[in-house]
Amino acid sequence: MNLAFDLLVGLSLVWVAWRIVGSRDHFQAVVLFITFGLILSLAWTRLQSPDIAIAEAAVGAGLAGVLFMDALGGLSSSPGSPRPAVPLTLLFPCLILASIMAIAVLFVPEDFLGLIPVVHGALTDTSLEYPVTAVLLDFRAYDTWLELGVLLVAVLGVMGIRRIGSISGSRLPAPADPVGRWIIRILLPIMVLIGGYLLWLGAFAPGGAFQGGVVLAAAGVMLWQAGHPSLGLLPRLWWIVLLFCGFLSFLILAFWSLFHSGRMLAHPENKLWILGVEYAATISIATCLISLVLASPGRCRVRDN
Amino acid sequence: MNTFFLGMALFLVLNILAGLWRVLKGPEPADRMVAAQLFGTTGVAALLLLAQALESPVIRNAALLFALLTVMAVLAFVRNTSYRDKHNNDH
Repeated sequence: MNLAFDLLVGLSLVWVAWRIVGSRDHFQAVVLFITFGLILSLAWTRLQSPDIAIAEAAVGAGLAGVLFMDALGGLSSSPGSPRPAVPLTLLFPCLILASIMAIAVLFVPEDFLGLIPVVHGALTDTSLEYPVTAVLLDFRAYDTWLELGVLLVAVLGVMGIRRIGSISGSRLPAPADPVGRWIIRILLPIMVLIGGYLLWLGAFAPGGAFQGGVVLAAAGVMLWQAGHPSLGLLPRLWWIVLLFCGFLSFLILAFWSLFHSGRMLAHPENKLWILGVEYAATISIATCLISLVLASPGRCRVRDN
Repeated sequence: MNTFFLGMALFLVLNILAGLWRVLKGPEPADRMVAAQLFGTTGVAALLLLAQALESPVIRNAALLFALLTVMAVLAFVRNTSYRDKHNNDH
């Protein structure tokens, strides 16, 4: 039964991916992509990686669909546009790459545990209980820090291309009229609650800053979709503070630990430090993702109230 | 019992694959969108079954997120479709 399920999910992923690439209708490709995210989440679940399954669920359902739908609304595509040609010359390198990866899997010993024993052994050195969060915020804090930097660069890049200096007064790609304001009252409290819940969960179970941040970002984008200015309400200075606070908190931690213990990013014993860094990262991730969506080209000014 | 849960999840994935026929055939964007929404609901059920089958309750959080956030794509779809319809009637 396990094998049947895994085979079905794996083959469906390949088939749906192939349909996305070969689809003539852009809208069909978008819907297939949303479906792809769902099946991918099932696959991550079967691979016993609930962290990635939760992240995929949040990004795939919460943000990717909105971005694609709005991008599609901005394109003036005729339904009879020609089938996108998949260059056959790419097929050969792709097949070679796939075979190399398949062979590599065969060489992995069956009882291979990777870094799991190392991480579990080092858990006593940190104040975190959950290994994945410990890796992200403590053992590999440098990576997480730079990833926050990557998100910032992405926002700066979009702002640069759009030649705008802030997201206030950003325009919706299609007006919010059919979406009633009442939806805010229903969804906003639940989204904020679940975003906070996932953030809190990260200390001892799958969840954490990224997953929580994405759900909070979805809440911000939902506000914007319902015609509310969302983060555009904030004064520019506050917006910049929220955007950079995650990156800055790691920077402060790096300097502080360098002067106090002589090692960069060595977490102090106090658990408050880790909590502070994680919360700041969550706020920054949410702000960056909302800004990326709000900075998208639009035609309709959001109603100010 | 776990085999039973996994078997039911397998059946739900087969349902999603059957629903893909509607996504591929259409003909209207609304048909495709409704099919995707149905996948969202089916996916929630499949994830809940997997949480039982794999004895990993945290997977329920992924189901929770799909239940909460699937509506986002519909909001964007409704906005864009009604705008395009209005736009086309004006010309």
